[in-house]
Amino acid sequence: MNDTLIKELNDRSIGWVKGYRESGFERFSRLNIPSWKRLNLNGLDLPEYKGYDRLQVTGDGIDVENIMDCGMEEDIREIMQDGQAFGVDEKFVSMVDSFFNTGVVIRVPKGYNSSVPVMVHYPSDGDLILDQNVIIAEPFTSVSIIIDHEAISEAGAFHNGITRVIAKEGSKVNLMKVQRLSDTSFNFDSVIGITGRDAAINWSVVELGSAKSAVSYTTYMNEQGGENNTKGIFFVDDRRRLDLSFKVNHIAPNTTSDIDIRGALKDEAYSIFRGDLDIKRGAKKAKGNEKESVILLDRTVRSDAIPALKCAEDDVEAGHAASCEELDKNTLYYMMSRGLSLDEARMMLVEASFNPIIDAIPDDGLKNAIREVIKRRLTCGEDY
Amino acid sequence: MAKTVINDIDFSRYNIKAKVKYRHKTAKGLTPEIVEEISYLKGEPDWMREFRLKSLEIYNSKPMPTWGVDLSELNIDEIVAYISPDAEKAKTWDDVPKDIKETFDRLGIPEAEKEYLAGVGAQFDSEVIYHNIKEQLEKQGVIFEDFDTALKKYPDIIREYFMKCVPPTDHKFAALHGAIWSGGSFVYVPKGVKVETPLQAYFRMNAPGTGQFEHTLIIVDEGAEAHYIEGCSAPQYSVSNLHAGCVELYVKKGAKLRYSTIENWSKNTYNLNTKRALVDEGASMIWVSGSFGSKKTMLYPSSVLRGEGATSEYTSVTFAAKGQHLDTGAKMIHLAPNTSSKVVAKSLSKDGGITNFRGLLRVGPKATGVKTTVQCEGLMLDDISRSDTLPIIEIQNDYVDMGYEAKVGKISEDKIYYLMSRGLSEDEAKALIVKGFVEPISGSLPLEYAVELNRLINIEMEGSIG
Amino acid sequence: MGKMLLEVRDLRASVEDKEILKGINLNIGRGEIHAIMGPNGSGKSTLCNTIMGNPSYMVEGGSIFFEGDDITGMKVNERAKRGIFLSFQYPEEIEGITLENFLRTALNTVTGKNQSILGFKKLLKEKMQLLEMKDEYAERYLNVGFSGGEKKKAEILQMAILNPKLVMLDEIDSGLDIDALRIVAESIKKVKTEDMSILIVTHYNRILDYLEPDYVHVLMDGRIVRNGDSGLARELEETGYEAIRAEELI
Repeated sequence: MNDTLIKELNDRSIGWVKGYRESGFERFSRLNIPSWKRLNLNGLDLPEYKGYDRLQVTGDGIDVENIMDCGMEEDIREIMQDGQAFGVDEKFVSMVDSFFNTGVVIRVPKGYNSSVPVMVHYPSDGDLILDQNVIIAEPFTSVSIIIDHEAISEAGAFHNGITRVIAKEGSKVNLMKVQRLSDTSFNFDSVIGITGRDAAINWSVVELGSAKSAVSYTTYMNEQGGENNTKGIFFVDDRRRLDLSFKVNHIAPNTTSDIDIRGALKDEAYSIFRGDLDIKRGAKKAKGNEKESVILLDRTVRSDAIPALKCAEDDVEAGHAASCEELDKNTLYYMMSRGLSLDEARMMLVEASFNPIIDAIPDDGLKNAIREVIKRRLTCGEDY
Repeated sequence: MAKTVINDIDFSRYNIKAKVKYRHKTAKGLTPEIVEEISYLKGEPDWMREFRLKSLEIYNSKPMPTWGVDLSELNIDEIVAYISPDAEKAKTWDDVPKDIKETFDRLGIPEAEKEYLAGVGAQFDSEVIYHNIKEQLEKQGVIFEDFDTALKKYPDIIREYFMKCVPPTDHKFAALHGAIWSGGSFVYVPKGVKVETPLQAYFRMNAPGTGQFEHTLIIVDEGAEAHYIEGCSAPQYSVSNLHAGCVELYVKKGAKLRYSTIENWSKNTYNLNTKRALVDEGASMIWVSGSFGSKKTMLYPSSVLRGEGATSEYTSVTFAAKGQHLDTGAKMIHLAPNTSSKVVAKSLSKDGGITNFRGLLRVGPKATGVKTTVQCEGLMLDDISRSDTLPIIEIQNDYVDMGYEAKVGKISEDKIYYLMSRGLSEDEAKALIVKGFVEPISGSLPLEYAVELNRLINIEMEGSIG
Repeated sequence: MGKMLLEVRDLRASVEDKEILKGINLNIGRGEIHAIMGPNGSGKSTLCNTIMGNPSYMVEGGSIFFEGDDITGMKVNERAKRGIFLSFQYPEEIEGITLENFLRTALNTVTGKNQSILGFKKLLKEKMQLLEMKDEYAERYLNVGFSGGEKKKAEILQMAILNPKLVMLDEIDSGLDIDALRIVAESIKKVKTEDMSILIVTHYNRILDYLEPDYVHVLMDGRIVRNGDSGLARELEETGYEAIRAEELI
């Protein structure tokens, strides 16, 4: 990924996108790949640039365009050049800004109100996926969108993506992101959401695959009455690592947020959970809550939690809780008294922890597929 | 009720500026010459002089911390590292020079000693001016000495333990301490001896633009018990003072140590202190900490639970008012099986004050069967202050019961309403709720210190009580 | 042997280092109904849990035979597979797992073969109808938000599905009003097969009005102090445990 490539991509780009890629590349070439103490990216080689053409989209009554050949109106430029801090790391964000090879622009038109999800599917057969996604919900609309990164082969993928969500006044965006890339893949995902007045953005996060995965969600609630609810599940096994980060900025009064993350770790897996609840001066009557619980299935796992709670207002309600504990002895005994082995009982309790979140997935096919992946990973190596 | 206590506040007792004759005062700043001068004045053995010089090198090689509080206004070159009052170390208060004694009288130290302490050490700027222990304890083999005396009387023990728990390589201010430490106490409690009443050290910074770098080393031998109380204060100056003490605690098998601190440095002081305990099998380490003073504080008492079944508790209240940024917290490092820890941290912020709780909870791969809880609670007294809670939790095996909880908010209107319906004014109601909020801390201090803590809270609440 | 389903020999057990069972002997034949009665704290629940294999209960001595095999050191799920079932005094609530899902998994494990989802649904529906349970219970999270009577009924439903050889009912009557008790007792009768043995553990004898025991044992201070038939239960109702305690002292 170099300036020759940028020129080449620029030749194919239209309008303001040319300059956009260039300024992205300026940042990209100035920065080093971060080493990251916990996830540890030492020795990470960036892949050769390749195009990506497997994008599949389904959605009714809604305008979904491929970012590589859409008009890129002025408001999209504003959104993409907004300049608010977000993302896993500036190196990775600028990589997508300069080299994005796929992505969607979704406009939720006035009057749209549907719970049938728009599906954005990025299958991977060892692909390079640098997706740049923009979602704009017009005032008082309601939409559900699922973005799914799925392995269709064991080949190692390199995914680095950006998703920007603008929820205008009174709108509601439910965005689910599913990551089920192959176990040798690298995954970097930077998501930013901005809520308008009385608008809601709900994140659902399902993290299942990749050797190393760094995922970051940032929300800015700039207008009063904004809402941001996050539900997430993760399952990490083998020697894989996941760094999952949520940053919620309460800027305007009466904004509320809630984060509920449940995870399970097996083998020599390592997960890092970061929850950053930042209540700025002026965010009166803000309410923020955050909860993470991890089930540890093997002695050799490692679980870090870095839950920050920052508060510069007095009239607020904010709380954090993190726990990791052994499964309850009495519950295990009860289940085993019905014939389940210790492992089966433990597995079932992991599923139990995940179920409320999986049950809420608006697409049955995906719901079952996710259940299958979790089941397979849970039972892998266990004699059933 | 609350009203009468509030009217009694006398902040002036902390703000006495004694006119004292000084014997030695080094030049401002930090050079090998100044370090050699301190060592020479103290008549130290070669190894200590070399240790100081080596620490200075480490200090110079380490960058300033980029996290925590803003240290950009702290200029070490403007600080006088060593300033000793013209006084011999005394064993009776009558032998302490009058103006110095007056300071400690106003702080109530000699009176407290008579009534309920097992021993007292009092440091005035860089040197200890008074050190005494009850005879009966001395007979049981308890050692309580100022650090310079200890270095002369027990050179082997000091050499074995000094800055082994907190090495100068640990961070920049540990290195600074290693180079220019002066004063402090050494405590040894022999096997099985239980010291029922507390030992106290009081640290007083009197001169403007100086630093205090006292060293505290406590060894509680197998099955022994002790309670150590540390108090500190300084009068208010316009130039910065620096406090960079170091506390090293060894709690041996089955021993118990309680370490209580009431810190009330003046609001021109940088308090960059390091405290750490190594806790052996079945031993117990309890930290009780009240932080009220200083301009900026970075202080994270640590317990390294390295013996099976070791336990530690940390209970703290941090109160940041106008112009203060207090960054405190606890580190609990679980290295052995069946160890347990409990952290209860409460903070209050008002008039633009900033409190940070910064904690580390680490459970190592071998530390199975660990039980640990961390609870942080921040109370915001107005909308211009800040309260941040920033813990790091690292769990490295599956047999761990960990619970973490944090919350932040303001005084509940309902509670104020309830108390006012019983006849209290709004300010009285608030003061009462704040006292209730810090009860877990005041409740774990000896009565006299709980009174002191309440007095400090009253002073801090004064603005809102009017 | 052979004839006996369960043989408990000189069983001693402790909880948290406190000895609760101080030498229990008990034989239960196939199809028999036994009742263990005793005051609070006599060790009734401990006996059930020790037979079931609760890891919190330590066997200090003696042994337990089931169908002639020594199961004293066996894991709880292995005992379940052999056909021992305990109806818990306080069934666990498990958020996120439906009753149906849990029971199907349990049945698959106990029988060692995978039930077809449809086949299982049919079986479950049939048993639920038998017990006059509403269909919706199958879809609800296990015991979560169930009333006391509903929980006990759900336990009986599990028993009906798993079809054990020995059923232990630990204080099944506790917390139930008279109507709920009657419904639960009738449910048990519906589910009981000719071969199924039942061990009723109770403080009161009101459940025995519905399920007449062949044998009654009185447990006090960790020992069985009296054995008899259902007449003994009636006697206890009149004289109370204190009379037996006094008798013991003589």
